[in-house]
Amino acid sequence: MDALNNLGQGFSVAFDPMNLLFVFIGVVIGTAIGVLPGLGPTATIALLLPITYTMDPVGAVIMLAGIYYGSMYGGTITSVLLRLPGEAASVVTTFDGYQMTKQGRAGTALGISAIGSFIGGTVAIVGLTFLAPLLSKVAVAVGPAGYVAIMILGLFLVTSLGTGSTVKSLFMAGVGLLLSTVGQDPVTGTARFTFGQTSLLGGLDFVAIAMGLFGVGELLHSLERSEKGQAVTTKIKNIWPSRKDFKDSSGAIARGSVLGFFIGVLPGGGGVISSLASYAMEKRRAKDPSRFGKGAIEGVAGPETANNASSTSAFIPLLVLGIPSNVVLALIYGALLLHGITPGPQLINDHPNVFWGVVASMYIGNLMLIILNIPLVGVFIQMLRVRAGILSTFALLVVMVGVFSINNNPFDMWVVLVFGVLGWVMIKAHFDPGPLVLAFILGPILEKSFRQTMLISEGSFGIFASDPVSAAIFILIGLFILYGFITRSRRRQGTRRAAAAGPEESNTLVHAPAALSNSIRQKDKGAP
Amino acid sequence: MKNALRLQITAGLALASLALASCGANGSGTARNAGSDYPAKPVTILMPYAAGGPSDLTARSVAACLGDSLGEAFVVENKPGGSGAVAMQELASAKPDGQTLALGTTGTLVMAPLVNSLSYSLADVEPIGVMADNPTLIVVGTDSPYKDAAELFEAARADPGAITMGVPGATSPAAIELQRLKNDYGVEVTAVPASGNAEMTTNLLGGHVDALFINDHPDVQARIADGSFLPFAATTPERLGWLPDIPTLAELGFPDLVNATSIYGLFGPKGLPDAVVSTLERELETCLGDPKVVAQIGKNFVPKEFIGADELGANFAQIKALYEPILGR
Repeated sequence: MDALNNLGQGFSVAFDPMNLLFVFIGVVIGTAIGVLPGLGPTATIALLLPITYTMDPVGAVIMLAGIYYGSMYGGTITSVLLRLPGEAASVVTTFDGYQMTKQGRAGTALGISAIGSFIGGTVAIVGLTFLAPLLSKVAVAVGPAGYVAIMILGLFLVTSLGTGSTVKSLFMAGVGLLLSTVGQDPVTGTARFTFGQTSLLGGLDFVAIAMGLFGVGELLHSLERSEKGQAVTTKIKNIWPSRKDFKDSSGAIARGSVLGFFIGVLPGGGGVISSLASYAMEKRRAKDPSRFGKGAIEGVAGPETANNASSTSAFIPLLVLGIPSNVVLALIYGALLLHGITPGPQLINDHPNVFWGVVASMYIGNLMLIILNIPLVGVFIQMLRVRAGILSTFALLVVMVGVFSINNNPFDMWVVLVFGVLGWVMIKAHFDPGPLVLAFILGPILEKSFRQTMLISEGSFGIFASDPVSAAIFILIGLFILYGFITRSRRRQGTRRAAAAGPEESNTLVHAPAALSNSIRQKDKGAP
Repeated sequence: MKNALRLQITAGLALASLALASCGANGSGTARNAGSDYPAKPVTILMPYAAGGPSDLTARSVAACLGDSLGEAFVVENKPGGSGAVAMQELASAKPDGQTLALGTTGTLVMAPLVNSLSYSLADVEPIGVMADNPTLIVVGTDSPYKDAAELFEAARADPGAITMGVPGATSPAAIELQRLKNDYGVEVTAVPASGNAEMTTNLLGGHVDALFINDHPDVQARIADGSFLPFAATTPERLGWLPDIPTLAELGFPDLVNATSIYGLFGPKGLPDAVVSTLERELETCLGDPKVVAQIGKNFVPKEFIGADELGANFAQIKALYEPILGR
């Protein structure tokens, strides 16, 4: 019952009027940037980091955390209404959410997302409150060999779920891995592929590449279209889902909460992977998988629940171990360090106000968000009435300022522009930049962990079998491949037996709807 | 009309030359009294690392104090691009007028130019003084089978390369000290580079490496205090004041391994006027005596005795001489 006492103390911190204000500011900014497709939580938090220097540490983290989980709510809105994911984790919501909008069920899709997000978020906070100390022991067991396995699992998921064409996503992932080798060798420190450019010594900046491919590429592409695209004409009605909707999605919400929570705890997990995993899980469990991609409510409820649960549970490795599991949390880590607080096992003891205050503020923030989202969704989407041209110009300005502010280096602005043009070419050629960007993030961790593993094992591959975490994950990957192989060959037999040659069904496990290739490129400009 | 125009031009020229002349006068004035009216404008301190780390905290704390005492703002500008090389290159190519300074480390000023072909080297910068130094420790986890450093190194001698030790980066001083341990003393320990203390800590707590060669940041001190890390050795020339029972590597039979301390030095571009160097040196020394600055940086990290320009320059030159045969190409 220690946790309850501490939580009570946390609430007394969170109910401080200033801190209440910071929760509110955080979740409102979060929802707004989630709605606006040009800005993600990473760029926003990066831009606001200097401001938090003048704030009290508890208030600073409360606000930044609010922006992060608030953006998970906000990102849903444009995914559902416009098939434009406001941030990366909402990409899969476009598959069925936008279809629901086309069927006139936009209100229901938004309603169930908000409810799912609230439940997922709350489950994860409860988990954070009670399981954090316990989970820290499990997470420490993940060593370099385990990291290698997690990264390979990540790449496997990215290429198999990424787009209709596995060959194209493998190619894109390969390019991403190659780009990630630019810079210093992680073991010898020598320069690789820098062509004598000092600015390349630290590698290409992830945010610059992501902003270029997703942000500028999409802006260039939008110049070819008419200006009508962004205006929301959909009438939002029936936000509160019907009893049948609740019945259909309750399982997805329950599974999404648990799945999202555990994926968020994994280093490198969080947002995107959790929503992709939840979507894949719901589709596999469904009695009639062909409904997915055509407006299945489970396909909206599950991923939206999972991404909120994971964005909350991702705080566990940060606050308990001092390990930021993604870029957003790395920025929050930086904010804590600015105040001389080093996140780690000592944080709960040394700074109980920070830990319990932030945890308590999350309960309040989630409550605020569901209040903001259900009745006020109409207000937020009014922001999209701004003409696409104005929004794009503003977005480009924010992108350029944002990318400059990260390293104060004009070189990164050129990287954004070059990758913007590349992104536009890729859109035209129907290559999905999603796997490229994800492989670019995972590549350095994979390489470093692999080389650490080889140093530790003195060059023996046996360590991948003897390390329990990596063994378990490799068995899981093997099972995935086997399962995909079996279903494919079974289907082939089925098609052979069936005399009538119909259009071939897509593989239930590994094929996400082709809409992903379209929509993933529009996802969050800069968030993990 | 023509006349009026000519008059205007003449007047314009006269004004311009007057302005130029007064500039010239000002200019020579600055050069003559460089020490006394320095700084006349806000000064930029380039930071080769991202905001938030201990080096950033040091630079910000010193910058605030220098700004107060010298009457002009000292602005810290983070330029983490190119693993710090971008900031150092900018420093090396800046005008030596004292308006651009930087936080420099052995990593950015000695090792990076040795390992890579860069357009700057240690010769292009002017040392001013040490802002903070951050010693390095060898620590193990609580379930370590070794009871002290002697046993750990005995195990390394018995089975070369079997002992793994986490280090903060491939070209970190710690990694190079382990290389020197092998080259000069024949004791082979496998260095496992990680990015930063947090990752190293997880590797040790999870039992993935045998020991760490880690910078003594507050998080490490907290873990030593709560018993999850056991300190085995200090890598400084003398024992550390706050860990008086922990032997140094020198005492353990490796007398030359005393160079792993991270130094956060204040540097300017080569050719900085002596008067500016001595002004900054003097004010830096005063700032490091200010209890507020000491509290911000951490009292263990402010050198007990101020290390000025000459000593800092000599120290970096010595480290360069030691590391050149190991890293140079």
